[in-house]
Amino acid sequence: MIRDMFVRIWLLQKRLLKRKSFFLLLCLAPLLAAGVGRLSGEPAGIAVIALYLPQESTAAQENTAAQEDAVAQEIAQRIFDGESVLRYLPCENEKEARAYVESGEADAAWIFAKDMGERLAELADRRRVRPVVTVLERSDSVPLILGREILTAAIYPAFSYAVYEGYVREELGMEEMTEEELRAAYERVAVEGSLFQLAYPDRTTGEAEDYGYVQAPLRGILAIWFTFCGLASALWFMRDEEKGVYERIPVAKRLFSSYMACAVFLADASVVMLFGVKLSGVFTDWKREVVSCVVFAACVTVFSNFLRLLCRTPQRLGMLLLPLGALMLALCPVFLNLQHFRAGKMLLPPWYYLQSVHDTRYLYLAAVYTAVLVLLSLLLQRVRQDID
Amino acid sequence: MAAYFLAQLKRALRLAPAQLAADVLICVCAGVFVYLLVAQGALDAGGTRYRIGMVGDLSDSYLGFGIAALQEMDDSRFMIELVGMSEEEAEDAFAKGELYAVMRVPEGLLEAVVSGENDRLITYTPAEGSKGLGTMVMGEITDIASTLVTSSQSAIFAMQRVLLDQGRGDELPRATDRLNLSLLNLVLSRSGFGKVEILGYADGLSMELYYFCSAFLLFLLLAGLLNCAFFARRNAALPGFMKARGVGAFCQVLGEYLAYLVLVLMGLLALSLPVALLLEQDRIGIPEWEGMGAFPFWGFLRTLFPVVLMFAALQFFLFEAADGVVNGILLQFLCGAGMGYLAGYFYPAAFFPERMQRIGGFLPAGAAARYVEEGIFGNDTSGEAAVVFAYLAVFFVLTVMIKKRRIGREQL
Repeated sequence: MIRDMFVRIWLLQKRLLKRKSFFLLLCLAPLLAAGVGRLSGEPAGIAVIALYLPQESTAAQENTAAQEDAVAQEIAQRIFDGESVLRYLPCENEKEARAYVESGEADAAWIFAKDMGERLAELADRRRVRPVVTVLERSDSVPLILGREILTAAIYPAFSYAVYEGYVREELGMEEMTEEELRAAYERVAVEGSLFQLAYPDRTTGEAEDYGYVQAPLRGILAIWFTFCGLASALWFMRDEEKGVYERIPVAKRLFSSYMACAVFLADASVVMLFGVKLSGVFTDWKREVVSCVVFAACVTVFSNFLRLLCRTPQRLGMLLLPLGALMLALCPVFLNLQHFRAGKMLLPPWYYLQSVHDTRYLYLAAVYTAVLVLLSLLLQRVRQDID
Repeated sequence: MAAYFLAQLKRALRLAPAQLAADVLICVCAGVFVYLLVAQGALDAGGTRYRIGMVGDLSDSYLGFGIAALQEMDDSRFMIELVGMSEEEAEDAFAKGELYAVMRVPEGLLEAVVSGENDRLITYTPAEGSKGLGTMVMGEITDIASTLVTSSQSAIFAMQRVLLDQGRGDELPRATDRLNLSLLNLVLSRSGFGKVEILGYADGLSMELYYFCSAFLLFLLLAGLLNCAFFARRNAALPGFMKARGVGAFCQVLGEYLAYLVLVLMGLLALSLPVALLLEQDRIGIPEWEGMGAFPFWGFLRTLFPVVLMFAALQFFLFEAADGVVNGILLQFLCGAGMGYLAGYFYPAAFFPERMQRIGGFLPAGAAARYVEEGIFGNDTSGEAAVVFAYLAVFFVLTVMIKKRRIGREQL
């Protein structure tokens, strides 16, 4: 019996791969993933900021200018260091920064004041906060609000240093202390680093995921494509049923045959999806990916066939494709993760797969979901049989 | 040719009830989706407040004060709600999807901060299963918070070092408290570091209108999935037979394409009617169309017409090229989702690297988006329209070529 099963699997596989168009179609998915993965390495951001930091000094104001240069450099370093969700366009002068915003090439401009040192000194002396940067925005938006907080974090160290300097000199009465002495005391005890660490339920930290937001949705897109592969295989089975390919198998036993046909179809798609995930740059490790993919494939097999039994005709199943695709795009964490609609999310196989990347609990939930759908499918088939 | 078109039209009209049922299903899903969003307060005027569970010992007065200050005085209170809870409560709420993230405060955090060791990290677990835009934004927010804390720590420790060096250690507690307060003031007034000027340039679409257009374009781009039944059960011998009866490949494609177009237009109309009704009742908030009812929407639909022609031709070509409806469905989804993503239907195109934006703009989906954007502003769209019609012609010619090849193969 097992030998027969293998022979049937082999024949189905041969039938599928004999069609060049199917093979080429499978190759398209990793091609898209690889293309986006490759392009995503280039600079990108949810908002473009034109940045002008004055750095030239005049002979007459050498001391202040030197101090301003140091502050400006420190701020520039903080802004440009590391990965950011913003993209910066360095500008030579204020006019250029303004022009970028006016022409729409930038969403905002950060124009730093030329007398930044003076304003910081004023803060140190009188605790009075005067703006050191002009923020020009085309219109207010969430990315620009975040941008303003990033700007604040870049400026804050200079401000807090000015407060410390002023406090020591004015409040503690140590006016005789030189700038170098104050700076040396500060540098000796300076604290750096993050107080936060991203940790997923499987204890993977954020640093382990070395990719940007442009690549991030690719896993979700591939997962939905994979679900469509399952639905396409259900259509394929229905068409074969109509042609009489499964005439010799009693209707009561056809569920197993449909699972097998779907599994063969999805076996090819699984290999393609694994390669797609690998090429897109969102891959974790082979063991985890393979296990998640196998559970997902089982889930999709059962889900597609449950819908097949529910719809009964290829036409009705075809009619479901677009609403289902829209639901999956909206409810599964592909582009955004909605806080609500938990019940709706739990009906969709890609949700389990996408959540299981760092949480094995969802693999068990997916197994339970699969088992429940198998039972419902058996029940549905029985009802259908009785009606027929 | 006219008879062939009428036969195809008859076939298309037979599919229309099922297709309209699918449109109704889409509208119902969207309606339920929006209703639940409204019911759960996600579309409130103040926007969504992300609920973050705080787990750990928050009984320390400084820590409690810090969280209370964030929730009462800081600008972040409009976006983030911090809720203290036990590990079990957090696990439960997290599993139910009620939290955006869980933050775990380790024991001895405050001691670590006061001593400057910073070796006890607050770990946060996002509800998003893996890295995405949400986790990246959250990463930026935690980096900002870290900078504010560590810079304040540096200033306080430096002041303490200076006092100790001067032999004035007895003044430490009072001086530390006062400098702490000054820095806390500075943190709370940080919005004053910059002067914001909103230029109010309106040559770009508002986010609401952008996503409204994107939703329609995506619907049209993926309409092939909705109408896949039109391409099923086609008699493989029919093209050859029709050719023998004097209906060539061009006429066959034109007849089938026009019938298919009717099906797509019916779908668009079915979707547009409830949208127009909602716009008329001011239930959809689009800043550019505020107080204008559904009037601008009808203009938008007129603008959309060449795009409908082009996308229908694209779908027609993909189904012909895919050799079978099963392959066709997969090809439709992959091309639709891929092109839609690159053209900025999901994330705004401006979020992508420049080269990707250029590629996205060159694709049919990108050309359609550019054309619609210009059309909405009433700008001259001749250039963009030419590109859309060029694509239409290319897809049409390619489909005719495939049909010709198929007929030729049959005749051999």
